[in-house]
Amino acid sequence: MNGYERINTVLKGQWPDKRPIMLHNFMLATREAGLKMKDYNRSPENIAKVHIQAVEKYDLDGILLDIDTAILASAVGVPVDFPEDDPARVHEPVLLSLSQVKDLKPVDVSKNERIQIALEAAGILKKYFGNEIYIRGNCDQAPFSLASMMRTPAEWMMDIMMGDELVFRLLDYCTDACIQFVKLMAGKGVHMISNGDSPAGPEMISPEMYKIFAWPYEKKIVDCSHQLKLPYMLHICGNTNLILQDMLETGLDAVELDYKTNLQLIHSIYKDSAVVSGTVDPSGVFALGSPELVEEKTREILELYKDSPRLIMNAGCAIPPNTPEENIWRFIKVSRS
Amino acid sequence: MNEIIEKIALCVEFGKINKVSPYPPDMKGQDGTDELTQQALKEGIKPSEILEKGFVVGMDKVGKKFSENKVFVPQMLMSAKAMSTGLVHLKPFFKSGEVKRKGLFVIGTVAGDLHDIGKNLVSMMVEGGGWEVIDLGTDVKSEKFVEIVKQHPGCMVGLSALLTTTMVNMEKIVKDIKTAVPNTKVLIGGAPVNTDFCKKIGADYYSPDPQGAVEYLNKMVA
Repeated sequence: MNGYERINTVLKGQWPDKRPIMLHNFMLATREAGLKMKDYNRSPENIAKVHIQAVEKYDLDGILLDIDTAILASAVGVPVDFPEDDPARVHEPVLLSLSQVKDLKPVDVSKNERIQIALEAAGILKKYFGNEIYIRGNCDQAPFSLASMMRTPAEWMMDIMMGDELVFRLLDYCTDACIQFVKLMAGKGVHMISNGDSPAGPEMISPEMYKIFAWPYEKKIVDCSHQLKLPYMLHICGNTNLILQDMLETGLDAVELDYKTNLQLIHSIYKDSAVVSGTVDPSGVFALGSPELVEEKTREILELYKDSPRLIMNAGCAIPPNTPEENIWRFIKVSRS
Repeated sequence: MNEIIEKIALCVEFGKINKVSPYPPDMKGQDGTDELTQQALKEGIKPSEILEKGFVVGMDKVGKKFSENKVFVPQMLMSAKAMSTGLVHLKPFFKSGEVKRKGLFVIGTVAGDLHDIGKNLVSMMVEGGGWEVIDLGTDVKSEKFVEIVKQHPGCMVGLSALLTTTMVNMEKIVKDIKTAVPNTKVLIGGAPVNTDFCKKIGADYYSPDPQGAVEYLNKMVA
């Protein structure tokens, strides 16, 4: 099997020839390519080059096409900061008060430069790898998370307590922007769509709030992805024990989860239903751990999942750029064994 | 206990900021910490009593609920906002020394990270718990932490990170602080960190929530 076939196989719930590996590695891969983040995030050619090198070096099965968490934010007018060698980020709101939601004009995200960079990179990768390597077209933040960026997370968390219908208007606006990005990404021939929605996890909001303010909008994105005949993966980091079942009920095909979520619980809920990508601790284990610790944590997952093919080996979240190469090699060796 | 102080504690616990605020729905139209703190001072209640029996009690209750997953960040933020709104009226008494603080707590989100919700919650809860707080903000480099710690030997330090890629910066900051002023206690927190990581980088305490941070600090000065 090639990488694409391997990941496609596990998505169908069938056994691959070996466990597929698709790393959350854009920062590490950028450093290994000798580039800084400012070189990466502004050039589709560099984005593609970085991921091609990583795939060919480590014989990965898939690419998580991730640039940073400020692509959609940029498209809806949130001011974006571009550090020299860190991912682009937001920290100022575009909506100083919730009442400004009334003045929001429809947005065409395709006109945004950063969206175009992401799309062009996806196109280059698809042209290069075709159906040899699986391409996960990450479409940045899901609606709840995008809304939090438009208001700042602290203000948004308080907005949702106030019972104001403008909260739902903003979520609808963000859903529209997200769906636009998803459709554009699908048009580039990627094999999967994904989003991150970490501010919607139980480290921030209650499961009840998740069901009201995040879940319905995640479901719309999942449904859109399926209408485009593409599987969908949702990433929420932190401890998601309390909403694992709810997440599954969006109809998603895969989740990317991190080490703080209980592995036994993940396995019990997802082993026959959806693929799990993860869940090794990217910092405490990959970046700061010994190769022996990497091996130990990798074997834990493999041992638990010996009765299920629905697994893509990965870290639970972005792997830090200073992660020792020997740790990546050990992870790959054990994952393939 | 004085009825006003009990009401202040309730307003902090349930996040009732002022009369105009629609939250929480079942306290709509009632005075919040803003009005009640002013009223308490007018009635001659000691500022230290308002702090200890009003704010600290209220934040302690909501902090415990947060630790037990009975309330989440939005409710905590409302409580913290209720507390900080009331606390503004007590600040002149801190400056004059009439209300004594338990100690100094320096906090910041580490270099490369702009996330501040967790840090702000801890900062507000610690201040409400009777501490003086210097909040360095976000994206704080090691040099800044060291500079402030040197200016205030004996302070405690809190480091926050929300990203797997920035939490690794904590190690250097911890090392630099302890080299500059040995015996400085350093707490860490943030979604991706845990106790193992805390031990690995030589920090003194990891708390999964603001309440844990307050309890640890109080234990250190008890």
